[in-house]
Amino acid sequence: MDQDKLIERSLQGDLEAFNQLVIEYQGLGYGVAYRLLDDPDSAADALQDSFIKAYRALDNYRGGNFKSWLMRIVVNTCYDHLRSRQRKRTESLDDLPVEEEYVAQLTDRSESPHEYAERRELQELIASAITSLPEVLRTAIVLRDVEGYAYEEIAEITSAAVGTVKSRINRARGRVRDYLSKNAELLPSVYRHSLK
Amino acid sequence: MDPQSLNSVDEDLVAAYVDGDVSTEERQRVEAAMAASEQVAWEVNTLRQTVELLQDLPSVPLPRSFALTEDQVADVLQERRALAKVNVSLPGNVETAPESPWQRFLNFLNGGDLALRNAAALAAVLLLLVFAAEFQIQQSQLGPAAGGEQLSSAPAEPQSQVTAIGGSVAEQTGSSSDEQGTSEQVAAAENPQENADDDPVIGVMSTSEEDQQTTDAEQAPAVAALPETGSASADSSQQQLSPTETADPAAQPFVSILRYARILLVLAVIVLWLLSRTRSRSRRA
Repeated sequence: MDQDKLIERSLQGDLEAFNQLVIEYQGLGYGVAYRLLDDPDSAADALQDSFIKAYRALDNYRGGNFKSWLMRIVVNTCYDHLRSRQRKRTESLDDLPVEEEYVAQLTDRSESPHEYAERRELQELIASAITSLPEVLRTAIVLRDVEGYAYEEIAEITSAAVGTVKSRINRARGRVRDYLSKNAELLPSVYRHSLK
Repeated sequence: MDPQSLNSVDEDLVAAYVDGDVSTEERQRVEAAMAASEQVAWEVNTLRQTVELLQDLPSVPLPRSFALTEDQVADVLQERRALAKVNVSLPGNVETAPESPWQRFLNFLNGGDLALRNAAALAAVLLLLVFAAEFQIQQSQLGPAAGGEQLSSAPAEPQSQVTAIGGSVAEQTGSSSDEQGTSEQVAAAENPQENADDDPVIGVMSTSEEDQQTTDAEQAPAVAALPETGSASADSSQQQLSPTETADPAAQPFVSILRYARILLVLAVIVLWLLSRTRSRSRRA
């Protein structure tokens, strides 16, 4: 069904119509939330909160790019979770991400255990590099390089000018590169020498 | 492009170049800078490799569905459903059958401000009462004359009877009739011969004819007894006997009050009705 129709029906109290929008965008939203928060449980909580917020704020949607409008809510909700997490720095071991689930999902049965371990270490290194970035740079690089959004969409989501977005992306890439170069031994041989 | 001078503008250009989102001219600028400086070339190349590593990150599978349940948004959901019902039941959203002229007339009467409309209705009722009171007074004043009319249309009677009836009417109609009776007697005294020559029956007949002629003026039968020579005095008697002039002097102020009340009430009905419509229209606006 047409997206505008779904939004209109959602505004009339049709929850099923809104859930069709949720189903359409939950994959994109979860990817962004996961990369920004670097934790599956936090990402799930943030995304659920985002959809609830979006439904409540649907009256304020004034047309335009619904995906950008929704992703802005997701990004802002992730910021809220990040700040909340920073306040709770007294996390226990139980709060640490359960890596087994993630690992099971990403296992390629054709690769050797050694290759699998190397790939996992590289992914963790890149994730750590992203997590080390300030919020705005993290958002820019996740939306552009991980999720593949256009500059204009990122500008809309982050309420920034396109030039600012490009600048942030370039700086974020540089910092990730610098972070990775410090751990060059974990990089694939193709990158190991060039990044140094 | 000097690597030491990579400012924010150049950052934009490098990012766009790495993404392949530049014009031909921009690409040539960056590539010229890369050719001129190893540092710039390293910068651009390492950024491109970093992007490749980032793009190689696997997509994350969904752990579950994030579809909302009614409990999660119960308050907003109820509000929106209630609002949707209200919108559906709004008159503008419902196609109504065209109204008949009678219904439109009733709507017109029922329209307007309720209090002012009721005040106008009250004024209208009072107006009817005033009309009724005036009619009643006129009837009471004209009652005797009406009796005379009945008499004039009655079959011919002996003159003695007519005279007796005329006398009784004169007594009932008050002082003016008394004067009339007196003038009649005077006229009879002045023309004794003529009266003596008249056949009594003819005299009665002439009385009836005279009555019919003066019916519009609602003359008393006594006027009919006047001879033709006394027509001038009869005319003056007719003028004196107009309905209003024949009113009881005690009832005169009351009649005047009723007349003014009638005018005021007519004005009140019109003004109140117009105010009622105006206020209703301004409220709708």
